Amino acid sequence: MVITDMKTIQDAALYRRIQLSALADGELYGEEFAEAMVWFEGDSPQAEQTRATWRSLHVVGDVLRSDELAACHGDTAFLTRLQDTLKQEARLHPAMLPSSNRGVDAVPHVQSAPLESANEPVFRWKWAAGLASAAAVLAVSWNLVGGVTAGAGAQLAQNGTSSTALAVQAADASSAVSQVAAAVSNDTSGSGAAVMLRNPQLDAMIAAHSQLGGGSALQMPSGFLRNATFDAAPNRSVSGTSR
Amino acid sequence: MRFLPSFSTVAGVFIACIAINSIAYEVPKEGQKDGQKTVAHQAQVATRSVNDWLLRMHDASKQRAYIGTFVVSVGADMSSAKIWHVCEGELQMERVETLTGVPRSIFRRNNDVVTFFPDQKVARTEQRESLGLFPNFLKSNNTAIADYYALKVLDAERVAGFEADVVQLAAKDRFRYSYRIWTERKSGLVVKLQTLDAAGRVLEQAAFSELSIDAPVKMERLVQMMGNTAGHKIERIELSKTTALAQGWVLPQGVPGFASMACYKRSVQSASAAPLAVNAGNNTGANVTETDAGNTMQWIFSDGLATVSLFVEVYDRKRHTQEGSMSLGATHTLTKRMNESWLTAVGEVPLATLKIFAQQLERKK
Repeated sequence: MVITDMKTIQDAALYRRIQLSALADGELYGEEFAEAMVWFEGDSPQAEQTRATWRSLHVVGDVLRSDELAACHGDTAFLTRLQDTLKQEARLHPAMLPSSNRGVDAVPHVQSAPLESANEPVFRWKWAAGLASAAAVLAVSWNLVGGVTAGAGAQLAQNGTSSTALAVQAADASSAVSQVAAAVSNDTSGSGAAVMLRNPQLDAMIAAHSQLGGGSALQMPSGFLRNATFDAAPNRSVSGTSR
Repeated sequence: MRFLPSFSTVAGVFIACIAINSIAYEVPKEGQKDGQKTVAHQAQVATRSVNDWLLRMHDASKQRAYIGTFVVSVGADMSSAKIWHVCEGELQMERVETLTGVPRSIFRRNNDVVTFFPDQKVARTEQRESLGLFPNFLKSNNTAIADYYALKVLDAERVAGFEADVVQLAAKDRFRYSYRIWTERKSGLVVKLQTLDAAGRVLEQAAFSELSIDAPVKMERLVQMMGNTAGHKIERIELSKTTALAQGWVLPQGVPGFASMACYKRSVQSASAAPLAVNAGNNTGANVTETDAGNTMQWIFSDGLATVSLFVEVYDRKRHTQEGSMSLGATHTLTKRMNESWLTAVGEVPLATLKIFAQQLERKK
């Protein structure tokens, strides 16, 4: 029974956090908005918790928006702690990762897991920010290269920076990142090329370069063997060229 | 914060374990080495210069016959081939049968190379004059390989069943990649080769997975096979020598360490009128034959280990649509429009190096 109660309480706390985060983003309307407003009233532990969460969301938002606040100069100890905490979280809450995402102040009537650090939401934020920036970098490089998925890239970048996001959004961003990554790797696996730029003309140049790469001290014999063995475009070699 | 002490304890134990392990492994290894011979060998290894090593590797292929399986790993791709190598006096012959990708048999008789594509019944012949450049390049006094690569002798390892000396030629600047080379201890034959980036990541590697040195390889047999082009369409790759200046191009400052090696105008001529489906190991013949490749200039630069080719052709709005860059293992390419010309830079160098080449290349007339 205790476990069930704990779960209910955690679910409720999670629900509140999600709603408060949406509120901070200005995305809560009507009944949901009214419901959230009620949480702030009174002196109950829940209200305290709500206000603390609200404050922490804004602190996190400020940090994300400000380079000065977010400065983090190669602090390996911090990184180690971050990685460790992420591992701990995954171990403690394999099914519901966001449930550990409690406020700055520990909730009195909920026995929080003993190993969680006090400023954990910030960690979560760093993580989300990391994913978002990874998404942005991927999006940017993708644009540079192909110019095809510009829309999606911008969308990703926006997701990452503008929202006072939730773990849910971080998860979205992460899946988007993995999609982009998958797209990149799909492209790679097809032709052995890193990007979509690969084409028969370029292959011809690479082949021609290999043939005459004779200035290299390693050309003889290893370079020759390497070039003879390695077919830069195995899938293209048989079928007729079309362009 | 409570996890911190436990973490450091764990880390400490972990590091201690590694240390203990490496000590445990080191001790018997030292014990195995048999006295003076090893010491003499080590002394020899220690005194060789960069050029000594490279010449030794080069000479090994001139003195030994061998059969082996060669594996090349570039990015996610892995290719392999069976290799036969034999030499008689100044004559060297090689046969390479690819085991992956499109079936190809490549024969080399010194600088002459014939590639058979059995499926298409095509034999491509070419002269690789540049193959012969190398020993002179190394022997010349102005060789600057040691200026740009730092030699470091690493611990010996075993490759393809042979004890191998391992040396690292670490790039001294960011314009080039580093190399790690394994050479068979007695012959000096290169048995493994890695190309590494500045962070020490392996970009590509090639190695013999099996090798028998001094194997019975019959040269007459290889000569016979190489000449057996009957029933094949002959595709001849013609190169005409030129100079960049004659083509109207200069590279005023150049890139540190990279010297101009040669400049060619390329053409691909097919014995039959129909465009061939194969060329240069890739499916590029059709393109090249169709598009007057004889007007493509190939200007080759090298720092002694890495090479860069600058291809310049007339800009063609239909074909030259995409400026940009691409990487394939250690090989990078960069395409760029230069007014009425189209530049393709290719080389086993970081992209930044190709960019410098591209920035510096200038039209002279």
